[in-house]
Amino acid sequence: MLALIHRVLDLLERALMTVAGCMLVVMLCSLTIDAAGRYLFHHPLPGNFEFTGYFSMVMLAFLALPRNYTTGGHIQLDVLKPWLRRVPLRLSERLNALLAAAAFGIVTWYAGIEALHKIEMRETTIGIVQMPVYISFICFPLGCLVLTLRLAVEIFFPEEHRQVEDIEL
Amino acid sequence: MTAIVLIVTVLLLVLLLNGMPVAFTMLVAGGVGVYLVAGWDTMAGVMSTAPYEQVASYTLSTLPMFILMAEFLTAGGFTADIFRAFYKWSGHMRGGLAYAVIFGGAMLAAISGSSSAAAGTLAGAAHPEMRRYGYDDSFATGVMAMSGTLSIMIPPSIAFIIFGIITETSVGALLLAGILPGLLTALGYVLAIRLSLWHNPALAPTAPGRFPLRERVETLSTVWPVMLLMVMLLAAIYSGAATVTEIGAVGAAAALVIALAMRRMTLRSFVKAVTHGTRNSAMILAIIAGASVFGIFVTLSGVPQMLVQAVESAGVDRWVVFSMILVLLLILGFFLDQLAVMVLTLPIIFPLLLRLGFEPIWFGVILVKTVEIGLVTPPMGLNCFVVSSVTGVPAHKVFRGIWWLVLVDMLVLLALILFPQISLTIPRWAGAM
Amino acid sequence: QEPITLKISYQFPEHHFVTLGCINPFIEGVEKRVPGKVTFQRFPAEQLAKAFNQLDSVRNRIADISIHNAGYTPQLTPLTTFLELPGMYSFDDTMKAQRAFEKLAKDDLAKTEYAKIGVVPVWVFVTSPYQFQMVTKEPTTSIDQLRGKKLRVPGAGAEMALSAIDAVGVRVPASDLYLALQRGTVDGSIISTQALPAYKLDEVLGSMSTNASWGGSPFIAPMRKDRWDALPDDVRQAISEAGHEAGEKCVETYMRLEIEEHERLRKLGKTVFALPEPALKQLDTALQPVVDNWLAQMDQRSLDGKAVIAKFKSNLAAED
Ligand code: NA
Ligand code: NA
Repeated sequence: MLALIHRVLDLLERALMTVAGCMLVVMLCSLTIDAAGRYLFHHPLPGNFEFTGYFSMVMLAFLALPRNYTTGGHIQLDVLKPWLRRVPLRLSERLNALLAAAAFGIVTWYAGIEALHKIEMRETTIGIVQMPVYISFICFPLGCLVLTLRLAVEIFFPEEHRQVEDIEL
Repeated sequence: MTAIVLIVTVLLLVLLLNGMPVAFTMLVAGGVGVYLVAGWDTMAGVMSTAPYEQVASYTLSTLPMFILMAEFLTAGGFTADIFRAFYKWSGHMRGGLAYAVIFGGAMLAAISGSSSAAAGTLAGAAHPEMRRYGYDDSFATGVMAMSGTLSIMIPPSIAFIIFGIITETSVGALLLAGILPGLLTALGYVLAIRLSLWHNPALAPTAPGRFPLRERVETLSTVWPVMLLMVMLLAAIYSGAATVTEIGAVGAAAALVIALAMRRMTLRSFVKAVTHGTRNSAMILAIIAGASVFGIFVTLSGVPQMLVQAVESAGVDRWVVFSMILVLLLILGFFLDQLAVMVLTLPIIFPLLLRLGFEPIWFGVILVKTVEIGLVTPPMGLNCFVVSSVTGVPAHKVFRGIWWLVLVDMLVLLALILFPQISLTIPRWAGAM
Repeated sequence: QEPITLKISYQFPEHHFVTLGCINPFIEGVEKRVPGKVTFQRFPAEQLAKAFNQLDSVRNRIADISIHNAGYTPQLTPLTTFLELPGMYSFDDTMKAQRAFEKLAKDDLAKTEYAKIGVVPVWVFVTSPYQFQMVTKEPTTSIDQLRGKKLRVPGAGAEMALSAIDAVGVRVPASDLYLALQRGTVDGSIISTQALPAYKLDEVLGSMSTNASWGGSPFIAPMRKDRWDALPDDVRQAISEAGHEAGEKCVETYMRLEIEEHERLRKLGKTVFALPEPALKQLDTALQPVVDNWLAQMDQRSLDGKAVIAKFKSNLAAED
C-alpha cells in the first residue's frame, strides 16, 4: 500500500516537474523572441509580458515545488542534523512534516477555493492578447496539493531527503 | 504585540534549527504570525494569494534566465575551461594555482549569478592540480570557497536581483554598483595570497614550469566566446540598451547558441542544464513565495514603524543604527542561509535605513558584501560545504583555510562603507542613478 | 467605546502627492466627521500588497480599504477599464470626468461589476489623461512622427493604442525609465505628467504633450461588502462624504500639479506642446479601433461595454 502511494506521488511529482522544466524553456523562448522582435524588427511578441508573469513564472515555481522537496532541493539548515537524528521516534522530522503539511494544506484549501472562483468568473486579462489568468492560478494550489500529500505521508512515515545531485526531470 | 513577535521569532528559529526547509519555515511562521495578529480569515486570505502574487511577476523572470545562462555554460564545459585557461597563464608562479582560482572566480562571476555553483566548479577543476603540486589542503580549499563568493558581487548576481525586487531599487544600477567592489575583493584576495605565501612558502611548495606558449594560446580558443558573452552582458547592462530581464533572456539564449555552435551541447546535457535550472529557480522562488507571507506578518505587526519611531524618539545617531544592523546581518549570516537573511531582514531594516537617509544602492552593495562573508563562515557556510563535498577535504579544514581571506573581506567591507564612491561611481557614469 | 480601526493600504509612498493630496484629505475628512470613532492604520508604499493586488488585499481581508487602480485588474474590473481608453475625456474636462465617473461607479458599476467581486467602491477618482513625452525636442505635430517609435507604456490599454498607430509599446518599470530614455531603449514614454519629477525624467526628455487623450487611470477605494455593511450608519456616511470630497481634491491636485509642471518644464527649456487640431482628429480616428476592440472584448464576456461608455458620456454632458 505504502509502496503504491509512493509510486503515485513520485509519478505526479515528476510529471509536474517536467511541465515546470518545459515552462522554463518556453520562458526563455518567449522572452528572447520578444526582445529580438522589439529591437530588431520593431515587433515585440504580443502578450509576452502577461504570459511570462502569469504562466511561465507561476508554473515554474509551483509545479517544481513538490519534486524539489523530495529530491532535497530546498535550502535547509543542516548543522544540528546529527543530533536531531537521535531524537526518539523521529519526532524532529515528524514535527517538520506535520507543520509544513498544515501550512501547505491551508494554502491548498483556500487557494483551491479562490481558483474555483476564478474559473467560475473566467478571469481573463484585456489587451492585445487576452490571458486566461484562471488557468495559471490553478497551478498554485495544484503544486501545493501534491506537496501536502507528500508531507502528510511523511508525518507517519518520515523520510530524510538528501540532496540528489543528478536528478532527471 | 511584543509577545506575538516573540512567539513567531522563536517558532521561526526552532523550525530552522530543526532542519525544515527555509521556504517552508517562513510560510509556517508567517502564517502563524498573521493568524495571531489578524485572525483566521486574514491568514487564509494571505496564504492563498500572497505567494502567487509575489511569484507571478515579469520582472522576477530575470532570475531563472540568469540561472539558466550559467547552467548552459557549465553544461558546455566552459566554466571549467575558464579556470584551466587562467591556470595555463599563471601556473608557473608560486601559488599560481591559487591566483588562477581567484581570476577564474572573478571571470566566472561575470557569467554566473550564484556563488556555490561557481565554488563547486572551481573546486572540481582546481583541486586535482593543487593536490598534485602539494598545496596545503586548507589553503587551497579556502581559496576555492572564497573565490566563489565573487559571483554574487560581480554582475550578474542573484542577490542583487532579489534585493532590487524586494526594495524596488533599480536592478540595473545595483548590478553596475557591484563591479568595482567585486574587483576590489578579488584584488584583496590576490594580495592576501601573496602575503601568506611570503609568510609561509610551504602552503604552495612547488610550481610546474611555464606552459608552452602554444598551449597557453590554445586555451583562448574555448574561452573567447565566453569572454565575448561576458563583455556583451556588461556592455548591455552598462548601456541600458535593453531591460535587465531581456538581457538575462538573451544572455541565456546566447550561451545556448555558443554551446551548440562549439558542439559542446548534446540533448542530454541540455536536459540536464534545464533540470538544474528549473530546480535552482524553483528553490529560490519557493523562498520568495514563503517570504511574502512572512513579510506581510512583519508589516501587520507594525514592527518596522515601531522601530523607526523608537530610533527617532531616542535620537540615536544614524551610524550607530547602521553599525547595529551591520553586526546583526553578519551574525545572522553565520547561521542562516543568505537568501533567507535578505528576505527576512529587508522588510524591517530597509524602511528604517531609507528613513535615516542612507543611499539604497550603496546599502545594497554593503548588504551583498555581508552576504558574501556569510557564505563562507561557519557553521552555515554553504560554499565551504560545497567545496568540501567536491574535493573530499573535511569541512572543518576548509573553514580553517578561509579566516585570513575573511579578514580581507572585512577590510573591503570597511572600505565600501567609508568610500561610497567605490560602489556608486559606475552607476553614476552610466547615468543609472 | 473603542474606536473602529480600519487598515488602509495603498501603493503610494508616504510623501507621494497622491498620499498628500488624496488619501490624507480622505482620512482627515472621516476623522473630522466622526471624531474618535474611527482610526486608520496606514500601510503605504505597497507594504501589504503590490500595486496590482490592492483590490485583492481587500477581498482577502488583508486590508479593510485600499486605493486601487482598476486598470491593473482588467480580469476583475473589466468594465471600469473603459477610462483607460483613448478619447474618453480631455485634460480640461478632468473634473467633469471625475463627477461623471463617481456617479457611474456608485449608481451602475457598483451593481454590474463590484458586487460580483464582493466589494463596495466607497470612493473613486480619475487621474488626468496620460500624456506622451519624447526624447527629441521637436514637438510632435502629426501622428506620423510616432510611427515606428518605441514608447514606454504603463499598461495594456496604451500598448494597444500604440500598436494601432504603428508604434511599439515597451513595458519599463518607472524606476528604470530614466535609463531607458537616456540610452535610447525607448524613444519616449506614456506616463502621467505628475510623475516626471519623482523619476527626474525631465533631465532626459525633450518634449511633452499637454492635450493628448490617451486615457487615464480609474482609481477605486474598495471595501468588502460585509465589512462595509457592518459599519455604523454615521461612519458609513462620513466615509462617503469624505471620499467624495477627497476625490475632487485629488483631481484638483492632479490638475494643479500638471499645470505647475508645464511651467517648470518650459523654464527648463523643454518643448511643451499641444497637439494641433488635425493631429488630434487623426489620433481619434486612428484609435477608434482600440475602442472597438475593447467593446468586442466586453461582448465576449457578455458585458455591456457600450452602455457603460454611453452612460459616462451622458453623465459628462450633464456636468456642462
Ligand atoms: Na555574478
Ligand atoms: Na555563514
